[in-house]
Amino acid sequence: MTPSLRRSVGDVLETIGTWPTDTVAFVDAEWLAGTPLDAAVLVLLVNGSELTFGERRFAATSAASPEVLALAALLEVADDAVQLALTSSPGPVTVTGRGIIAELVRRRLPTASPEPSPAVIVDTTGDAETIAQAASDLADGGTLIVAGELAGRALPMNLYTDVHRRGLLVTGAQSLLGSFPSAAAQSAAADMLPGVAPRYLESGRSLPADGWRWSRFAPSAP
Amino acid sequence: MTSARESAQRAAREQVVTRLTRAGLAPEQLADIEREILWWTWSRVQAVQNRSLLLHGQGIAWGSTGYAQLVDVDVPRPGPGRVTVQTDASVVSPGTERAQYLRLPNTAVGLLGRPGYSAAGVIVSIGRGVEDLSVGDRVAVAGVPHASLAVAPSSAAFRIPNGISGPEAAMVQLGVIAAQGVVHGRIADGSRFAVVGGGLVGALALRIGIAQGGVGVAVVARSREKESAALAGGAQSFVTSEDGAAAIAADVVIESTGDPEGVLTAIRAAAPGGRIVLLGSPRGVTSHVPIDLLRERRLTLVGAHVDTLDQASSRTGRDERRTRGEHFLELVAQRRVRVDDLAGPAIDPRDAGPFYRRLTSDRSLVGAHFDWTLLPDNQRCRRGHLLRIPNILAKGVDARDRPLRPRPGLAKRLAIGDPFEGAQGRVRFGILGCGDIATANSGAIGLAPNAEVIACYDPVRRLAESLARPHGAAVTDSAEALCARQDVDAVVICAPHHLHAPLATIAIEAGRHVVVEKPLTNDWSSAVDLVRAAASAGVVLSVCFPQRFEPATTVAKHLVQRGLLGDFEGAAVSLYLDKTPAYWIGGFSGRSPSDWRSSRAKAGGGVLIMNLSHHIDLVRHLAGVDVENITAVTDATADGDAIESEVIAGLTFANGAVGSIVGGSSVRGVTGAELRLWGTDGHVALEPKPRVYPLGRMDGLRPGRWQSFGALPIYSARSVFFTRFSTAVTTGQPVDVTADDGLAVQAVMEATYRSANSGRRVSVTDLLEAAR
Repeated sequence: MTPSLRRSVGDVLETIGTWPTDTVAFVDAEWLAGTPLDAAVLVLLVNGSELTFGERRFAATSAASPEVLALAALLEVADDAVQLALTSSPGPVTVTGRGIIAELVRRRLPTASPEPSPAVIVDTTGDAETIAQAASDLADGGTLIVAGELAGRALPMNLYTDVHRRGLLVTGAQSLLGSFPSAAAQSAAADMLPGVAPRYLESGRSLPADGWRWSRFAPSAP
Repeated sequence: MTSARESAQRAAREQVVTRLTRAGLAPEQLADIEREILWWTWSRVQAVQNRSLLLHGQGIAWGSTGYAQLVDVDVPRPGPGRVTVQTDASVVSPGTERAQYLRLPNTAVGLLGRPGYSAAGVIVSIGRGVEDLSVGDRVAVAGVPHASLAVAPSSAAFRIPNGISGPEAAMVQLGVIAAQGVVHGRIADGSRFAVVGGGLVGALALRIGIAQGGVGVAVVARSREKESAALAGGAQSFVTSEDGAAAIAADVVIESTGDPEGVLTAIRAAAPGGRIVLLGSPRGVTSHVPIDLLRERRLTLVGAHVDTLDQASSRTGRDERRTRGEHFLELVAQRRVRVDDLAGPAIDPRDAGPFYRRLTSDRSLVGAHFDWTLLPDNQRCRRGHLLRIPNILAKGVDARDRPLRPRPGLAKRLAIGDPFEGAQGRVRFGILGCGDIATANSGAIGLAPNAEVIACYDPVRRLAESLARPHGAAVTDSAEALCARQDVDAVVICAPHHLHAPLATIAIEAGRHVVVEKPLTNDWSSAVDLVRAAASAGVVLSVCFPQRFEPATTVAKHLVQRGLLGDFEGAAVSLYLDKTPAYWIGGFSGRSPSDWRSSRAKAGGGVLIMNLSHHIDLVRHLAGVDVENITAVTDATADGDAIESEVIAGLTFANGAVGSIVGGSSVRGVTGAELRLWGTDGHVALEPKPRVYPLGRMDGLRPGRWQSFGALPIYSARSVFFTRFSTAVTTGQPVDVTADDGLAVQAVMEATYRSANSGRRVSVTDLLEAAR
């Protein structure tokens, strides 16, 4: 069974599956928020220079740390969302979510402040209700960029009222770990890491209160 | 927070509704009245504001109960910047109008219930400030309902280029909508695009896309019904499977189905990096928008509702709708986009009711249009009157006892001629049994131009004598003696039910034709034996069901034969009688005292066999379909000699229709009946009052209205029965009511009693098959 995590009663993270030695997991805060109690949490696994996210697995020679590799993978999603946002409209952009991808998008956009009717919304939550609200908040003719992970969750939408009638454009940022993170992404991630370091967590300990954007989890403390 | 004004308005409305409801109007009628009054008021307010006159025409309206019909429409002469158009054709968008008609999610027709998209016709009036159009110009008009008259802003009216027909030009609004798919798909030279959905908007998008230089690689649809239109429009392939869709890999996919799940097919049909244009309006929630797939394949989903053109107009500062409309007509005029094959059949607006009903199930229709030139000129456009009373009666729902009067001459148009015309021969009748019903039958024979009563027999000689006297007929000493007379051609059996079979057998054995007063006999086995005996002897056996020849029944039968009902779907029969104690010992007249009517062994049953047999025959006669199965209950116990006073039966017919029979002979204080049949396209009721409700236009009837048959000729239906019987036996033609008809009615009654006794469903078909 692929190693993963679950959140148990008392907001405690526990490992599930066979957890190979030296494997660490990285979790965006939004992935955890969208996962019900006792269900497997989405994780980006790093073992040396091998990265796994769901069914996707890539390995390449790299001297980068697990944190840098994970951040580089996340950064590629964020960068793609930013590119889509910049090419969609010169107008204001709103970013939903409080995880690391949301943070990376905000940092790379010139204006990423909440607006009453933004021309572009980048959703990083993958949450159906948030996405529906985002579509509702957008200005007519606006663009919705989905960069959050749905993790198999259904996304019901009234495409008539939410998209068709208002002339919205819906697109998605590239999937997380569509390929092994590029050297450029690794380099950028290495530069950024000190400012966006993950919260270190370990099995059996209660999750910290709000304020963390992503976490690094290992069965035992590093 | 509700304002005082809103509260007052609501209170006033509730007052009106309450009063109208108390007056007997159904909620559906109230909604329709509201619509009519709103439309009536709006047109007059506009007329007063514009200081102009009203024009009167016809328009299609959808009622609250889902019917469609032609209604009176007043439109004001146009105000500033507007034009009034007398329409020749208005285009139907089958997919959207089907969804609207069915009230599917995400659809709206507006408070006025006026469907329609666009039309073409001739300008009859222009308002101030309209400079580029003139009265008499042929124009296509976008955004107007299906009506013979339309008022629109001049910006929505497009002068029709030469060489374009009205139905083609009427597609202008759909052309604008379809072009949205092409524009939002960024289809240009060499773009490989596919269309999901084979309907009218999809077909137009395909053709416009190809005219713009795109390559229409495929049309994806659920069935092959619209394949020919797709291929005629230039599609390289027509795909009906999801696997086939996945192999298309188009740069652009235009989703035009309106199916909430249609987007999934579109996503499958798109190449990585492709663009999916939502052109059809999804009628509901898409349960699972595959965002993961959208991301993985780098697809973009674009909403392209026609109203987004207004966003574009505000950005560009020019009227984008007009630009698109003009471009569409130009493409059609240059024959770069062919639409003549998409205009579909011309529908008479008076047939709007059945057309929309058909539309709900017929998915093969790509396009259609209402042809307003089929209406008489004075109905299409004439001067309107401010003081015209709103037409609020009988809008599609049961008007109960207030059907409209028929138009003058309806009966003549319905070919109710002289029912005695064509009588041939002269048939001499002997009458066996001279009680109550014999007086009616002998009188009817006396009135027939080709029949006479020459002999009578009854065990009570004075009854025979009294019956024979007015006819100068002889009285015989026995049934055998009457039947042995060589001058007797046919015998009428007017005896108690249990004597029908023995007396008819005497007549048959003597070689006489036989008319049995209903029912055929008092039990199933004797009925079967009797029919076999008549067939074996080569004589005609008929059952007296004269109600078939009542004037109203004749009209109803004529209309049903002309297709009034469409597919027969149901029938309801009820008969409530309050028979007095005297009836059970002397019948209605007391002429021949006897208690046979209250004996099951003699009568065969109660209200069903005694009275409802007429109605059963009428339903068979009008519907032309046999009853197949029956489930029934009666108040009589299975054993003993008591007859039923009450019967309730549920019927299924051979074509799948259903029916009911409810009868009672001890329903205190009531004497009344109901007999109605209905189908996909109409409804006819013979009792309590004959009336008809056609969805379509036929024989001068008004669609979507209950209407009576008006003044019908008065004659004796029973006499018509004997006249036609006599003509038939003289000429050797089949009689109207055959022995098999009598047996079929008997089988229905037998099955009803068997079902009531057993508590099970009984097959009428099996009974009849076993009898053959």
